[in-house]
Formats: sequence, C-alpha cells, structure tokens
Amino acid sequence: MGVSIRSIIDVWRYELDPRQKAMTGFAAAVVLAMITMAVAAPYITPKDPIFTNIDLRFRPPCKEYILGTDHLGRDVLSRIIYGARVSFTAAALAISITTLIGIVLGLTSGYIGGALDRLLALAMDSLYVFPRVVIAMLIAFVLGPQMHTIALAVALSTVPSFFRVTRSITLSAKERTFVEAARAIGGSRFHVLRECIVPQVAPSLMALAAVTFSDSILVVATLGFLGVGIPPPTPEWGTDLSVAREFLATGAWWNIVFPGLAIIFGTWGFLTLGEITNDLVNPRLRKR
Amino acid sequence: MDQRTVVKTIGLKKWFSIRRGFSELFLGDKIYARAVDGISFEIARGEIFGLVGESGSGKTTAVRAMLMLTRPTDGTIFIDGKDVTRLDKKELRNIRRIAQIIFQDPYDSINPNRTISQIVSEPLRVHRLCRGKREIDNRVRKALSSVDLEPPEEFMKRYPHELSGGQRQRVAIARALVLEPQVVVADEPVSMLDVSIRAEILDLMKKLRRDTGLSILFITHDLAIAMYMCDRLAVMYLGKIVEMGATDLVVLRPLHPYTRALISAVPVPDPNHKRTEVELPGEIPSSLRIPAGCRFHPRCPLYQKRRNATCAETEPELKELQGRYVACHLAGPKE
Amino acid sequence: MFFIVVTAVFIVMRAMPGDPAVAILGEAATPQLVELLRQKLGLDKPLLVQYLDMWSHLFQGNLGASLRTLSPVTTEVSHKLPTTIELAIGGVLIGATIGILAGVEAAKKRETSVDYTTRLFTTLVHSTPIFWMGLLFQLLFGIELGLLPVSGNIGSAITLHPITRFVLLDALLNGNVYAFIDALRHYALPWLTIGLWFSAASSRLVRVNLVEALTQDYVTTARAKGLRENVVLYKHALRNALLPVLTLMGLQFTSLLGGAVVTETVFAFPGVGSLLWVSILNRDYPMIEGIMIVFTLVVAFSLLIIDLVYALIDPRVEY
Repeated sequence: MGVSIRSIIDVWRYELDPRQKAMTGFAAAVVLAMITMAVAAPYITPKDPIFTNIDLRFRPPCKEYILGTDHLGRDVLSRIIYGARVSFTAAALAISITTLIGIVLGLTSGYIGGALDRLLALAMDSLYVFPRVVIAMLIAFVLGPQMHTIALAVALSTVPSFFRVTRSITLSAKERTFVEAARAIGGSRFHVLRECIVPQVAPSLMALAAVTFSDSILVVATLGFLGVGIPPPTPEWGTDLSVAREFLATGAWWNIVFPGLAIIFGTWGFLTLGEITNDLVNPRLRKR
Repeated sequence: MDQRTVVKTIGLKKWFSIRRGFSELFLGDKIYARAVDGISFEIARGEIFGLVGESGSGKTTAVRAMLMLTRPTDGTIFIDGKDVTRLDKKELRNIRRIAQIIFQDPYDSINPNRTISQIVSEPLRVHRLCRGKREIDNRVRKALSSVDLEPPEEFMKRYPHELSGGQRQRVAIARALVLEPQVVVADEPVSMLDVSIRAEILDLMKKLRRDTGLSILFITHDLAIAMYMCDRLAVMYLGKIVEMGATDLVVLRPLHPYTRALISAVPVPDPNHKRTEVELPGEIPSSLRIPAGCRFHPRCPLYQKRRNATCAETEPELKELQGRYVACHLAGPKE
Repeated sequence: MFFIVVTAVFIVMRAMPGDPAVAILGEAATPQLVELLRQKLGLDKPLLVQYLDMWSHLFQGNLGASLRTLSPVTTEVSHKLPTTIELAIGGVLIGATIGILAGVEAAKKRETSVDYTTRLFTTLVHSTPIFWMGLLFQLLFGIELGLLPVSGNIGSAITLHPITRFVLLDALLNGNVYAFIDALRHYALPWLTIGLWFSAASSRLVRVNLVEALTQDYVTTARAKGLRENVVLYKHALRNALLPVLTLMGLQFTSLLGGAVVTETVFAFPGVGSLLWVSILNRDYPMIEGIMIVFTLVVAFSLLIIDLVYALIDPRVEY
C-alpha cells in the first residue's frame, strides 16, 4: 500500500483546494471529538445521565445544566455524551458486519462472475428495492431491541447497497489490462485477486465504508426515533428525540435541537472524511 | 513438429455467441461473431512474425486465443511442440514460461499499486523459480538492464506513475522476458507511445531478438512498422489470413487486392513518388455478418471489374503463389 | 423481478420469529385459541400451499385482511396511498426545483465560495435525520410561531366526501375551498421537510452532471454562436444533464419512500408510511406484506415511468 500513502500525500498537497482542506480538518476534529466523547464518557459527563429529578424537569439551558434538562429532569448534555457511545457502538458493530458480508459477497460475485454473480446480484437488487429504514425497522422489531440486534438490523439494511458498489468496482477493476497481464504470466485466480484486484479496490472500499458508517449512525438514530431502538433509560439520540417529540408543545426546544445536532455532527463528520478519502483516492486512479 | 518452429496454429477459430435474451431461447438460432475464422500459420525460432490488419480484423483475438488466454472455439495450437489445446491447468501454467505477451497500453498493463521490482519479479514468484530475495533482485536487475533501464536500482523502487510511457513499456518488456521465454507476443507495443519513442522501443526489441534468439509475434495495424520490424508477415481481414509471406515479397509485390490497398496507403517520404492510393469502398463489415464466398469481395476492386461468380460463392483457400501464400480466386499470373 | 421480491417478502415474513397468532392474542391465550386463530389465518397450512395461495390471492387483487383492524388490506392501503402520493409529489416538486436551481448555480460558479457553500449545505442536509427536520419545523412554525398545523393532513373538524381520496383533489371536487386551504396548510410542513431533504440529493446530482455537460463541445459551440450564458445553461446544457439525473433520481425512489415513512410518523400523517409503522409495531403481518408488495409495485411503476419519460425526452432512445 506504499503507493497509496505517498500519492495520497501528493494529491493532498497539490490538488486539493484550501477550502476542502479546511473542511477536512474540521471534520476530522469533529470526528475526533465525538469519539473521545464516546470513549471518555464516564469521565467527562457533568451529571448522571440516568438520574431523574422531577423537580428539575424542562429546565432551559443554564449554568448548571448547560443544555437543559429533559422531561424527567435528566441532564441533556450528559445524555448526549453517553448517547455517543450507544450510537457509535451500534454503528461500529453494524459496519463490521456490513463490510464483512458486503466485501466477501461483492468481491466474489464481481470477480468470479457467472451464475453465482447473477444469482447474488438479483437477490441483492430485490432487497435494494426496499427502503433501508423499513428493512431495519422490521428486523429490529422482530428480533427485539438490543444492541446486537439493532446492529444486525442496521447492517442488513445497508448490505444491499454496499454489495452493489463493491461488485461494481470489482467489475471495473477486473477489466484493467494489468489483471489480464497477471493471468498471462501464469498467475492463479487467487494470485490475481490478491495481487491485482484487492489493492485496486481497497481504497475505494475504505471510502465506501466511511460513508456507510455515517449512514449507519443515521439509521440507528432513526430506529431509536421510531421506537425500535435501545430501550430507555439508556441515552440514545434518536430515542430521546422521540420522547422529546411527545413534549413538543411545552416548547422545550433544547430537547429537540441538541440531540439532533449531535446526530448531524456525528454523521457529517464521518461522511465528509469518507468523501475526502474518495477524492484523494480517485484522482490518483485517474492520473496517467 | 519441426524443431525450428516455435509456434504453429492450424485452423484457429474464435467465435463469440451473441445473446439475444429471450428470443434466443425460443428461436434457437445462435448468432456468432466470428472474430477469428480459421487461421493457420507457423513462427520459426528467432523470427519476427508480423500479424497485420485493421481494427476488426481479429488479430488481437487471434493471439489471445493462441496463448489460451481465452478458449479457442476450434483449431490446434502447438507451442514448443506441445498441443496446448489439450493441456490441463497445471501444464498450461508451464507453457506461460515459454510464451509471453506485451500489451498495447503501457499505462494500464502494469500494476499501478506495485513497485517496478515487484512487477518484474512477479513471474518469478508465481512460478517459484527463485530462492531468496537476492536471487530475485539479481534477475530483476538483469532484466531491467536488458531493456536499457539503467541504472536498474534507480527504477526498482519506483512506481509506474513515476515513469514515462516509454519507460513503462520497457518495464512490460522486462517482465515478459524475465522468464526467458521462447516466443513473445507484442500486441501493438508502440501504438500508444509518442512517435519519437517508438523507434527506440522497436530497436530494443530487435536487439533482444538478436541477443537471445527470441521469436516475436508482432501485431500491428501500421504497415510501416511491420515493414521495419518483421521478417515475415500475415495480413488479416475479417478473421482470416489473406496473404502471408516474407515481408519484402508481400510488401513490394502484393498479390491480394486487400494487401495492395493497405500498402498503397503507406506514405512514402519522396515528393516525387506518385501516389496511386487504392481506395476501398465501404467499411469492414461486422464479424456478425460476414459476406458469403470470399469475405472481401464486396469491397474488392478486382471483383468490381470482373464480377467473377466464384468470388461471391466460394471461400478462397490460402494457396502458395509466387513464393508466398494468398487466398484469392483472382490473384495470379493472369492478372 | 417483482416475482423475486414478492417471494422475498413472503420468506422474510414467514421466517421472522414469533407466532403472529400469539402476538395478537397475547401471551395468556390458551393453546386451543391460538390454534384456532392460526387456522383462521391460514397459518397452519404447509408453506408451499400458503405461498401458492398468496399468489392466487394477489392475482385476484386480494391482499388479505389486517389483523389489527380486520378490514381488507387493499381497502386500508387504497385509502392511505393517495395521501402518501400527494406528499411525495409535492415534496419531490419542491425538492427538485430547489435542487435544480441550487445545482445550476453551483455548476455555474464552480470552485467558488458559492459552490463550496452549497456543497457543504447539501452534505449537512444529507447528514440530518429527516425526522429531526420535521420536528424542527413543527417546533418553529407550529409551536413558536403558531403559523402552521403540525399533525394530520386536514383539520379534524372538516368532513369531506371522499371521491378520489386525494385530499387536496377531493377538497376541490367538493367545492370546499376552505377545506382546500386548510389541507394545504397541513401539507406545508411535511412538504417542506421532504422537499428540503430531496433537494440536497438532487442538487448534488444536478451539479455533477451539469459540470460534466458544460465540458462538452456543444456548449462551446453554443457560446461561440453568441448565445447568452443563461440560454446556454438552461436550454442546452441542462437539458442534456437532466437525463442521467432523472435516472438516478428514479433510483432514489426507495429512499424517498423511506423518507415518507418517517415524515408521516413525525407529522401523524394518515398515509401508507405511518400505516406501515403502526403495522410493524402491532405485528400486523398481512398488512406489512401487503404494503411491501404495494411498495414494490410503486417502485416498479415509477421505474417504468422514468423509462418512458427518458424515451420521450432523449431523441436517441427508440422503442
């Protein structure tokens, strides 16, 4: 992978616009902050996210409760910090499953082709027809709302699209002349796969994984909102929003705005990093 | 097979079936694109043999089939005396050590994700021919020197995108030679290079042939290059060989009307030379709809004049005539 | 492909753990009661028979009956589908308009601040959960400013004679202008939500394809002819750029359906989306199956429409 790192640095230095660089820096900062938040949660939360105190319900943002309190008097900020844990753990689990299934099936299907490929592509296309949210919702509801089942639900809902893209880049990689050259040398199919195909698709797959990760965060939150997420009192951005919705009329805007912003930042950070990775990788591929 | 022959093909065919979806299931009649429709030739050891034709002539498909990179539809292929159409996978792999290929596009035929050293040593590693890094490096260095990439150490650590087109093609040649094959197929090796670089690469190939006794099957659509490089030529049209023989003979005294037309199109750097360019009507038909009889007759100037019925009905065989082989009913001393 | 999808739906529904009969009757039900219900629901027949039954019913247009409301699935869906369609069409129109305008501006001034800001904005919108956007609008326009209603698709006090079940249409057909305006006010926020969300995706598509189209030679020719830049942009480049955009948008249809589901839930909109949500929460299997099948039909139908539109617009396509 030496070429990837060296020419990626080249592309970064010479071909990226300063505004893009600024945005990347910002996105990286956001991602880092959020991961730190998730990891260091027990050490940085000002208050106990689960501790309820009816007297303190619906406090607007103030010095003591920086982001206000929810309908049970819990600190919104603390819940958001802990919520990061839940969201990222679920999304991380989900992305592991998705990349595993997606890469294995997509690579195999694209590289080997033939009847297997046609069958798999048809099966995946059929699933692709359904909205991700619906698939995830069905699976999550049926299997019961727990961390690993939610992760599975999200994973399975993102697999069809991940498979599609993986298969497609594998197919284009297969057409390159140096792949034919490797076969002409006498390389076995496995050799060609390892030596030619994998290095060629790996960078794009990394970008794809980043983008899918950001999508997973969104789906996890959506599941929470729809009522099939991790059950309370565990803090989760989506579930908290669904609860906040019921109390919309109280005008407690902080319950809605802040968890939402958390979702946005988390999703946006990873999405931007993924897209920049893609930009870094693809100009290199197009370079002659 | 004669010991002096390194490659021999008999009746090589490669047809592609065109799927028409459901209609095919019902109608049963398969349509084939007959890219290579029965060609036979021999390449002697140490010879540079040219396969000349325009796009659509089938020359690229022919060599892919000859090297068993794609399964021939019919025909027999002998490489170094062995019938490669009957070999199993393992034996076929060994044949790869004898017959190698250089591709047209130097920008795409070497792995962009690997160093030059890894690229050139790949065949050695695939066939497990070397023991230890030092031996591999030595052989890579030798190969790079032989293609004039000096000093080799400078190039070994580099990546393809750091090299020019001409340098990349040299790397491709080095890779093809590292196994010390007996025959190398060069598929339009200079068409994508700058004109000023072409002569260097061509001369390099000639030098390699001189130094190692290598045979080269040289594919090109450029007759001028063929004239410069090749000892013998075969001219292809729509999947068949129409004329084959010593280059000087075929070029200076072409018998087949198609060869004549091709040659007349080659520019001559002499302002006093009268251009008698033969213009062929129409375009090369698709390999899906090959004309009946002689496949060239609809565009043939001789046929236009003489309207010989045989030309429209029977396919001409490749026959020896005036020191070379021609496939034409009308070519001959009469004309 | 429809065949495969329906089979997939069948398999998924049957493969899900949990007995629907038990779910309906509750944990305390006696085994005999459960068995009785299973027989009534046809769940005790062998899978193959169930599968064939499903197909024969489908061909008769029978999707079974809801386990929750006991009314036929087709009735329920046909009542709610028009609302979702109204929602989708309105949202798409708004989104496409904004998207095209924004995309054109970004393409025109690419690599400038306008372009980067637009792209940043679209990425942010893409990262925003649809339900949050809806909630925010509800909060802003509904609660704080008290401008627009936040739930339902028409005021509960209004009665309309249902003709087409397209609420807006029915209001007009009923001659009830007040109802029409009221319905519009109810549709405003959901439309805005879907519109904004859709505009993000479409503006990106438009920008990318327009930039590509602008590099083509015919654009240079048009400019050389002396045409004004706007004419060049809109009449020539955009027309050609829109073709791939159209296909891609068509493929986004599934996401749109997903978005509709979520939006309807947020706004308590009586469409197929919220119906699906309620059905899933209640394990109303026939309804879920029915809606999924309808979804597939809708997607297939829309793809067909896209192909037709493509054939009409692109003079190169012949059928």
